[in-house]
Amino acid sequence: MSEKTSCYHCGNDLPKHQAPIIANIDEQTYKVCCLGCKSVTEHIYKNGLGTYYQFRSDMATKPEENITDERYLVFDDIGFLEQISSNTPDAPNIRKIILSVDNIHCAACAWLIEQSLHTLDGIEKVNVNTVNQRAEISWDHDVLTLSSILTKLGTVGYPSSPFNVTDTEHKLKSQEKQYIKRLGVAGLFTMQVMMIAFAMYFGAFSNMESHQIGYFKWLSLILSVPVVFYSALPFLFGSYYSLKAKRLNMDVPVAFAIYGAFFASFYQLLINGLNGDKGEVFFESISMFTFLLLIGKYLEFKAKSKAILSNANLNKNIPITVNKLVNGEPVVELVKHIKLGDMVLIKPGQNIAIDGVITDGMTSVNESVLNGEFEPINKQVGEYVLAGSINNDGVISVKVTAIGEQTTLSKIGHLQEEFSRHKPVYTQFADKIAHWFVFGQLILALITYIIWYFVEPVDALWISLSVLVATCPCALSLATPTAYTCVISALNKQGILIKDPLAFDKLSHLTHVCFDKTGTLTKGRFEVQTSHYEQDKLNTLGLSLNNLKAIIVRLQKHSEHPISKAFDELLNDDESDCIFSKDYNTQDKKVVFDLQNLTNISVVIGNGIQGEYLGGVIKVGSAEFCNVNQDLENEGVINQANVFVSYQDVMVAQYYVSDQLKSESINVLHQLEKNNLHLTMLTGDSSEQALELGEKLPLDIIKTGVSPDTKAQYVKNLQQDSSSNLVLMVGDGINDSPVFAAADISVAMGDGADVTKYAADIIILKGNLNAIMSLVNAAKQTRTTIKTNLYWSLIYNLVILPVAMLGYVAPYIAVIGMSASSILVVTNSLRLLKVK
Amino acid sequence: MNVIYYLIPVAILFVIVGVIAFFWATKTEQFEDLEKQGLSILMDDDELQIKKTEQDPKS
Repeated sequence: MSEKTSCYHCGNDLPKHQAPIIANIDEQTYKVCCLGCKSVTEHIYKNGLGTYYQFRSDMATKPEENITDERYLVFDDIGFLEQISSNTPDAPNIRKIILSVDNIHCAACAWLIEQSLHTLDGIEKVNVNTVNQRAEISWDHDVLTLSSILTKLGTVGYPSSPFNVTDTEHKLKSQEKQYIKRLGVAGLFTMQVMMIAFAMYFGAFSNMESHQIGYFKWLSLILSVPVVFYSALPFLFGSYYSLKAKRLNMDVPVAFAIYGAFFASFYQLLINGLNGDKGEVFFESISMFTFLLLIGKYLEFKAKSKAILSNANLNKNIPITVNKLVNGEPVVELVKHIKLGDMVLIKPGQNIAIDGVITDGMTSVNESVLNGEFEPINKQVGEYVLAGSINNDGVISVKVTAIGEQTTLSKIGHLQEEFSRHKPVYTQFADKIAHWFVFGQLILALITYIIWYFVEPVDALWISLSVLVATCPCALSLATPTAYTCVISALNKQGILIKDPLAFDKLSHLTHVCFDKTGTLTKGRFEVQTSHYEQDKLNTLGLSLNNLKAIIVRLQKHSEHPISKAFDELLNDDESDCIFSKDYNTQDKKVVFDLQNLTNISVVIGNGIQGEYLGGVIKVGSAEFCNVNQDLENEGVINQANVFVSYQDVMVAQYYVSDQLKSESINVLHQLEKNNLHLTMLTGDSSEQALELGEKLPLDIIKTGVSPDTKAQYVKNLQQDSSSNLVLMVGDGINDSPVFAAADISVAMGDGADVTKYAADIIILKGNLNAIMSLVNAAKQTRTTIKTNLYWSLIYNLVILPVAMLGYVAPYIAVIGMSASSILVVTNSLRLLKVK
Repeated sequence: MNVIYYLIPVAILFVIVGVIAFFWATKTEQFEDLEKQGLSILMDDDELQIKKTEQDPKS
């Protein structure tokens, strides 16, 4: 491509039929797509931060067009500041705060944020974390206000808000540090022990003196102490808890092998002193074993915490401030200061923070957070608005009826907790085996010891230890975690985050799949499906088609209504050559539309938009609004038309605007059907269209107009019908969170609300349904791999067991056998990294 | 050969120093964000040089 068609800043397509917006920086010019990008780009260059564009690995997110400073002002309130930030003890004016920052893509973003903040006076320290999208800032409160920091971040394109680190997160963080430390210690010391072990292996061929071997053995002991008594502790605790719960898990034999072998070797050293020729020690195998197992455990933990943290960034659906009406005047106030019965003013485009009843004005609200449907609902005086919904077009005064925990939004959250407590119990295949395997192993080792004690007391300890080591379920215990680690990281790369490996294991037993409609099966936004223009009428009125389209696009810009967004693409549909701005003169194309001619634009709530073009009224909206009822019957061009355009009271165009199926939906559902899965659609939408849409898909059952509660109940009934029923739920809204909790496995589509992602077991980041297929396939492959792993390790263990019990297996052969079977299992698991 | 009786304990001391350094690094959160630190050396404030190379970074 010789000509750049995408925005320099955010990479979106440049508007085709409009004069390009140009950001001027010194002599350079850059084409950008909107005023927001223009101001951000210019700001970045003006501050000498252009390097950002060189090093970023991802395009920036499109910034908001106008960043208002006032919404941040409330953060300067000292009482509020006390709560969200902390003091440094030695310097009282220095405050420290953690911000959750949107739109961080890469290291270049972090650099940009840090550098641009340092241009402010009074900034002490900035530390941006790109992994969890946070910034830690220390600043001098006397010199600089928090609001100016937030405004600065806004101007470079990173809207941010104060963040309270939750307890779970603190816990995760300290756990991770523990893991890293244990892993580091295990790694460093294992290297030393192995070094010495190698010296001894070779020493066997070059007549090492007995006291030298003894010395090496004692060194190995010292070096393995930190590994055994620090790094391997999780296995000891793990087995302690499992024994306490009267269940044997994999940690039990691991702990037995590590600590048993350690103390046996130690005992051997004690009785032999520096005489290195006698007795066998296993310090290098123990250290190596611990190190390898820890790596697996750490990777598993890492994948899990990453998924949790990526969703922990604040529940942004509820704004922290509202406009409270005091004597009829709006005052910015914190939500927590609002009391029941207060009056609140809500402007178009704002999130609603409270439940309340409208006392003045009318509007339409988007309650998608609560019911999953983004089609706005009209509200009038006396009707209720709910926290979490978005006010679309009207200004309303609301009397507060519920705040905080009492809001419907919070109640849905409670519902989710309720259902998750009654989730069916599921034990992993490997766990079941482990319990009996470990039990048998311990018994056999004991029997071996007792028998040999009577036959040959001197050898008893060594032979029983050989049994324990040879049959050590390393391979068995590695079989499952390595397979999961590999498949989890493979899926991670495809944008599928597995939060719960257990849920992943269940995928291969799946019997039912339930889908939410909006945003899951469909794109979740309105699009113009069919359009029809009255060409001859347009000609009589003296309006060209392109002109009409340009006017519609312009008019729709004035509305927050989701339907209006469908028209943004109207001009790009075909080869229209309309141009907006009058100061843009290209060589041959006519300037057909002058913005100045479009006046008196107003939004009629619940109906549409109107404006005046060259003296004639042009209306875009519902049938009644445009007076086209009778026309409709006569012509019936588009039978489902729901948006009409009239000019001078003559209907000139009609559109059918609706949500559309994702391109991959049908295909994916057919494939799932082939896998003998029962497919159900559960949607909160009760309209005809929902039913119609569902019929296009190979669904077994379609349930429309169901509440979050009924959805969860439906899934629960499925589970109760038969114990073999395993239900997968795919959804995206907060309204899905109760059903997520009830389902055996839940998958959240990435563009959904934060809370949903928090509740889900698996998150699909790119919102592509094909990922469901990848998941099911990956689960099947993982299961086969785990099975082969288990069979192999079981066969190995069963074969070597009698030989070891008879005393034919020297301990070092047992170690080799153990390592070899482990390596085989790990290699087998590694194949899963290529899973598609 | 007897030199190993001194040298290995010295080596162990070094390992202990390494472990202490590693613990310190963990405590000061140096493993928090592995991506950023790697790139931070590349991105610096020498603006003039940047503007020269800034001909057309994208395309």
